[in-house]
Amino acid sequence: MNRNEYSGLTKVFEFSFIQNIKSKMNIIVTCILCVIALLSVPVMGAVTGHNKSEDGKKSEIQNVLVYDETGLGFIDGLNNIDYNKYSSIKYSEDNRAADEVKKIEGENDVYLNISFDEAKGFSLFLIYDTKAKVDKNAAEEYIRYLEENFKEIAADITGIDNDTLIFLKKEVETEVHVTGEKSDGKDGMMFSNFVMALAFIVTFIFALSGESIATSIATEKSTRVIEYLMVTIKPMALIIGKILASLSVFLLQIICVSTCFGVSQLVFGNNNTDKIISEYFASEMIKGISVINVLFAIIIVLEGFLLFGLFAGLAGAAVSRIENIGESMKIYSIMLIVGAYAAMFTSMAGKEYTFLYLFPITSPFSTPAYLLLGRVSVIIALISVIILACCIFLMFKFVASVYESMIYYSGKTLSIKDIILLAGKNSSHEVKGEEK
Amino acid sequence: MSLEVKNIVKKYGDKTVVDNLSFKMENPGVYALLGTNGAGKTTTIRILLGMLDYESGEVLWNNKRLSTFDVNVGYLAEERGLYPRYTLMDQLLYFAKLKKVPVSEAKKRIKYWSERLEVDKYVYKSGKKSSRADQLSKGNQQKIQLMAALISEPELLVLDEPLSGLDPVNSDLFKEIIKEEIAKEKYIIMSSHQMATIEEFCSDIAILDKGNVVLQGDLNEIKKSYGRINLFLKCDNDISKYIDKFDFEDVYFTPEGYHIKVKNDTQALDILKLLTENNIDIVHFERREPSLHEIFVEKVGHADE
Repeated sequence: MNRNEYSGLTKVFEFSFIQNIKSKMNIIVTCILCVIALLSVPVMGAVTGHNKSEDGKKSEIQNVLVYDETGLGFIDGLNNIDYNKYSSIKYSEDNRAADEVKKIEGENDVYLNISFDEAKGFSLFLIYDTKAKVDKNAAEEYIRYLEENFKEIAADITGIDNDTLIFLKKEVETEVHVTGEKSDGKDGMMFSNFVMALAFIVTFIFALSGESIATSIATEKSTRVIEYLMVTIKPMALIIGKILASLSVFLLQIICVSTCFGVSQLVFGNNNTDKIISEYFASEMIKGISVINVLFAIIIVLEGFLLFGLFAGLAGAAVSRIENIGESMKIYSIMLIVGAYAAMFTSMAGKEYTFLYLFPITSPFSTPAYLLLGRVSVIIALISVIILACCIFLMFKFVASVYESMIYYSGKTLSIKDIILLAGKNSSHEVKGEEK
Repeated sequence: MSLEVKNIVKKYGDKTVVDNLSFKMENPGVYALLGTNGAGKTTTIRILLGMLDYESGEVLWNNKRLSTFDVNVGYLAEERGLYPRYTLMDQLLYFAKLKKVPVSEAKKRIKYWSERLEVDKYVYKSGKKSSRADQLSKGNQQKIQLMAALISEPELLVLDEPLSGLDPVNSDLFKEIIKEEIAKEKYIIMSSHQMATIEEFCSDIAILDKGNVVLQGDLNEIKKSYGRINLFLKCDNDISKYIDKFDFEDVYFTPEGYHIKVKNDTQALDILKLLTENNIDIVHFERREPSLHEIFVEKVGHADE
């Protein structure tokens, strides 16, 4: 037929977008997400203990083994700290250099090395043990306190004279290290949590948008509006317009939620957000975040959105009655579950499964997270993008070959077998047409 | 302008649902597609509108292939449909936009047609937003759909069973509007089971039966070709003995009188002569052409058997 395959797409997009925005379901979901985003900072603060009320609590650090290379007697100054949280810490001398510390016995003990360099100034080097009760967060919080109050401690032990003042004006450099057997420990949990969180978000978005696309098409089919629309719109324009509208609604939701998160940070932040973020995104985790990785992650999610949108469109067109939509969405739901569980499985197993990063049904759920964590190379991400693009192209061709027949079909819900048979019939029909 | 359908063939698998259909509308007016259920009327209409592919043939508008993207076509589908949960105004504006009608013009036309079809109170709910389609009766939903078909002021109007399901008052309202569209010299394709309606509007018809055209052409010419074979006879006396003398095609008696189907004009004149010769008091003697209903039943009556 001599008709533009995508004519009317913008109008379908505009109408679907506005109606999606106005739908009660969308308003409720967006409101819930915004409320969650608004409450996220204070709730995370409460959960992780990074709020003001906890400043008065005693630190997990009870003993500090001090190796004072400066010879200035900092141990006396440290013993004089009267800040409630750290006032009960006991300091004792340790004669080991930092590189000699392989293990720290006490479960509430940490090792502190204080050194001085003419060029760099003071250095504070803290070591905690993986087996200890002291975690990375507590260690970092303690060293940050020492860094901020170091000049006072130094003044306490040295007395105030001109030379000392010049001496004290030198920069303070701090570092935190860990000793003991290597283990993923808390960082590993954070990796796992990050992958699962991203997989959950992708599943949530795909489930909502897929349901919206399928229901919209099934409604048009069951109410026979499709009959009117088909006079001026080609079926592919209809499905693509709906997918893009759904995608735009999702992007708008992201903007709303991000804005709410920003507002929450401004209002409830209390300078604790950095601490919270550092707790949830250990420094090793964010090393994978680069412009190229973020770009690939977004492309993979968007490609996944398109691919799953086409599946949802087929599911919607397979039914003649809106009440049968649940039946036709079963396969779609199974695909979502497979994708989400694959991501969770890889995160919990802690092993590399390249196949899952490339397989089009699972890659949108796993690859973006692992890419951002720096555990998937850009090459793998690129291959994943290409495979998804090929799948979308093939899916497009398939949908184009069956969608028109499915749209006009009225009867029992079409199974996958029926749809494949339909594609076979239509392709043989096309061949016949070309032969004429 | 002209609409020409040439040798259209449409198959679903091995089944031919439209077989070599051809017709031409050289002047504005109404062309009727008649047929029993499943005869191929809706398929023909979908082909005309470019919604369905077909095996062979062509549909031409002004000797060029008809494209609903280039030609302004209005369509009232047999199976009515509106978005149940969207407001009427949103839907009508959407349908207008799809037909490339500017929003300001669309709003004017929505106002005009909603008043004309007496649904303005639903489209413009006072103080509230427009009603949703699922809040309307079927008849009113049908009116909204007619509005959608007419909103672009189409050159070619396709009406698939436009009066089905309407009460007599709304049926008359729809008929008035169709007459107005005819007066505006529109090209209208209409499908209906209501033969009286077809006779009221249509100059040309095609009767389809299982995908085949069993009869087509100018309705008056078709009727003439059958001759005035229907005879109605009412007399004060009993005329059964005279009736029995003739070998009529069909005879049945009602309290009104005799309804006779004659084989030719001569039979009608012969019985009239016989009755007058025998001084029978004739109250009513009327010869008439067959109705479209009778022609239709004769052509496709076997479908019900």
